[in-house]
Amino acid sequence: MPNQPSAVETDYRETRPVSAGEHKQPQKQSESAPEAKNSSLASVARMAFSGRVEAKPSATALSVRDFSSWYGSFQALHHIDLEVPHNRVTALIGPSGCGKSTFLRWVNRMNDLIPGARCAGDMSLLGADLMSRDIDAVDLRRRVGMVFQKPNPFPKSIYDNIAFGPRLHYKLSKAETDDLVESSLRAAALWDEVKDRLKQSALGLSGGQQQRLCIARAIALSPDVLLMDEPCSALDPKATIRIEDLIVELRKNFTILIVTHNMQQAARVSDQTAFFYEGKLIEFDDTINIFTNPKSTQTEDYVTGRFG
Amino acid sequence: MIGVSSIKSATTVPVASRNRRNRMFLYTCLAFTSVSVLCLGVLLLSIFLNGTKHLFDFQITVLPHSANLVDSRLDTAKRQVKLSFVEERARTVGIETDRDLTGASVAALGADLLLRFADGSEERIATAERLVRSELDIEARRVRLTYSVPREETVGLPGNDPLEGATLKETPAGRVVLSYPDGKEQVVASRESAAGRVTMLGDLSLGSVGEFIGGSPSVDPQKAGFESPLVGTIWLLCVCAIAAVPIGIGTAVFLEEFKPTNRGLIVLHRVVATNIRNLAGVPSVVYGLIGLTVFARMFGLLGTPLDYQSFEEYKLSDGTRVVGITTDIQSDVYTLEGPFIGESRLERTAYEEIARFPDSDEVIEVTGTVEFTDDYEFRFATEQIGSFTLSPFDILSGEMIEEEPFAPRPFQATFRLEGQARYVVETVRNGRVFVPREMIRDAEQDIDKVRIRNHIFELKDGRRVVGKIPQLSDGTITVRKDLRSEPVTFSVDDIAERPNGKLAYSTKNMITILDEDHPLHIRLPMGASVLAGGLTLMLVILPVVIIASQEALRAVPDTLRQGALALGASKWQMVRTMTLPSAIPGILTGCILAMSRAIGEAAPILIIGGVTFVTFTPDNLMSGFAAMPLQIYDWLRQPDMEFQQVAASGIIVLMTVLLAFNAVAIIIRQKLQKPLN
Repeated sequence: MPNQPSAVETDYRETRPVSAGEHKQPQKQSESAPEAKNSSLASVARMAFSGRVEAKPSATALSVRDFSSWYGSFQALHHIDLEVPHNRVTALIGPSGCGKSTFLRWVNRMNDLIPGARCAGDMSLLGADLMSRDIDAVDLRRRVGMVFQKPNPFPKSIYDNIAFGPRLHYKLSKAETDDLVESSLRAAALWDEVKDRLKQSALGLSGGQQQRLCIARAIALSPDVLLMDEPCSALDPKATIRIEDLIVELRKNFTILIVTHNMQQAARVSDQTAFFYEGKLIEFDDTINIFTNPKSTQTEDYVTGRFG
Repeated sequence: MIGVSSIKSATTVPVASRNRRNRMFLYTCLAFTSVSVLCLGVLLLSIFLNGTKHLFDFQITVLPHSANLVDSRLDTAKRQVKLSFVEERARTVGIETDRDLTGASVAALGADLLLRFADGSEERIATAERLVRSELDIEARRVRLTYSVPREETVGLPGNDPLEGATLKETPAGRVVLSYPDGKEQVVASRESAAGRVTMLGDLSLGSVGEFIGGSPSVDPQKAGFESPLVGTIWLLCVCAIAAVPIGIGTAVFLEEFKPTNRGLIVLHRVVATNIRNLAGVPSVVYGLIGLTVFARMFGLLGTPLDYQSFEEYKLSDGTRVVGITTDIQSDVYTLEGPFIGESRLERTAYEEIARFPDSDEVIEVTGTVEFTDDYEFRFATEQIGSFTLSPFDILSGEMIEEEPFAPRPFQATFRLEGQARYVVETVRNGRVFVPREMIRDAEQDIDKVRIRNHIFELKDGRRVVGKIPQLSDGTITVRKDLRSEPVTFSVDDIAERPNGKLAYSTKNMITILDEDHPLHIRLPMGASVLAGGLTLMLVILPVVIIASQEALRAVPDTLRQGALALGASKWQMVRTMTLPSAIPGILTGCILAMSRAIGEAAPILIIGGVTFVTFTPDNLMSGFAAMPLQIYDWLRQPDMEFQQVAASGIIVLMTVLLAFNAVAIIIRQKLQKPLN
């Protein structure tokens, strides 16, 4: 196999054969490539990439065309064109205030809560136009889950936290709910730690556990798309690693859109990366290309750390 | 050099003066705190001392209603009074035999009471010792026997007043009074009314607390009770809570959770929120007026309630129905003040004009008798204008202010009638009677000037009567049938049905919901009913509840709301499952504290028409009511100094209820906050 996982990587990472001709082989990078190729970020990206499915994604989950948005008179997003692939992790990176979180919040229409927020353009999720008037925002949020920057478990028991979402939308028997809670917690890699205290308050968990709880809560609804707004920025490195591992696991079942400040994280975790700057989408490509061979100079300046 | 060290001429502030000012600040704060603590302490101490004195004070012994006092002896050595009396006790005995009782009778033979059958045979059924009378009920097959039982009661006398030379005497009203040598008198024993309660023997007794809370208001400070105001207040609070809490919480949720995005609506929203805050500071008297117009009178759209006082209706055993305001209950004599004795219930009596002010300026010569009674009232009995009563306050004459009661003596006076319709309009407003200017003047002989606060009416049959005006409508005086100004008295034995606290209404334009016997019976216009009072109190506390709930809702972190919404909750689901449960402790605390404020509101209740001398507790929403703060206020107004202590007892009860409320608030808060941890 051309791409053996290196010794530092753990076993759970997938290793699959590379489809011929689909992607550049890292070893074929020329020596005279720009700085990006040789940065530590690039090597991280390479390492992460080498363990992942390389087949081109078969479907587009989120299709964005000429999308602009305003807060009052201030234009936050300018003509975004983006195709978010299905069942992959797409990272949105960029400096502060560049519109990544705004963009994320339009996907599940959380911006509706902000007075003065409006948008123009097309955004469709699995074929359904999100910006039309007929869309039921409540139902949309059932299909698009969100994990916030600061973990926000509800002041209820762990069990009730997970069951909250499904109970809103479905009629489930107690056994079904029990199963759902267990499977969600397992998928979030939290089950073993909390299985004895499901009825205790969720506020008693540590920060990392709380964030995993929020992820479990979101995936309990089997969303089509999972949005994550800087999920690890409030956590310590150890917890961050666990969440990142989780994200890579979840990728099998969900389309994940993650906003992150941390470029290493983007490199480790995502398949494709979109670089935003001042409300415009500068570049959108496979992660490995963004970090090793970015097309735009702005992107290169950002990923090499010239500005942040 | 950077900073202050670069300024050469900078001098430091002397440390000593800074420290001194610091200390002065501390001392000043301490001084203010001490002053307020002192004031609070003095207040509480005075209330407590006064109140407990009445609650725990010497309670007179009450003799049973049917007791006949045989002997009363004063033991000066032991400081005791021994009362020997004979009490009649009744007992019902069923007839055990199955024999036919037709023609049977009971008779006493020696020490046995025999049942004599028609055929002459006899059977002993009970003892005849001390038997006073027996009544045989053949159909029910039982005999009612009344025995006279001798009893002795010992009453301990408190205090250290010397008892040498003190005498006991029994008043005609059945009281045993101890007269001290220095002239002071103390009631030792009094006769209870048939419906009264038996108190414990003399001395300090804790049971008098229960007496106080279980008794009814009375003109006798010794007997004054607090039951009807207490229960009335609880009824009011229930109505108030049921109305205010849902409306308040709903408004707060609406104002906090459903904030508009439309420009115009945002302005409206801000206006509403600001005004609610302003309403919290409005004096409660204003709410009383609003409540009167909106709830009690309902803008006059649905007719006018007859009066805002609660009439009590007694049905006497001879079938007469007496309706009036109970002004006194002494032993077994009830005194009711007008408006009338009639056959029909006040509720079903239609208004009818039967009297009016005479139109002329004529002068009437009045002859009759006048007496000055024990109750310090002048009772006039005239042939020309009927009978009426005046208090000394009504009379303006140096010679008429008598000190000693006197028996009826003849009098002659000249009264000039100046009653005119315009007179009335000037002096009577909104159904309330103001004192007319001197209508009557110039008398001779014993009366120089008499200012009568009643009006003289001319009835249709030509008679003239003197009385009070209960209601004014449309510029004419309408007087109810059979208006009499004399108080009606009857004995408690005559009562067949006791009052039930229902208010009297005219039948015009009235809407009735549910039957009269149903507890939720509502009659519009509401008049001075529990419902109107409760709704007025709701107005008073509604802004407070709204503001407290708003604060509690604001305290819920926004992350919770976003988290719930992100999971696909609709706005209502989010509020119901997330926001409200988190905010409930704060909301409940605010509600209960608002209720504490409502307990003490006397002004709105006064305006609505809560009365102070009622003996009943409300039994449906339309009943009249008495309220604690109002009763306390009324007691404090009494000229009798003993009532000050009674009022203090009332205040203690009121504060106990308040403390209980606050304790409940704290407990609920604790209980609801636990799961969150």
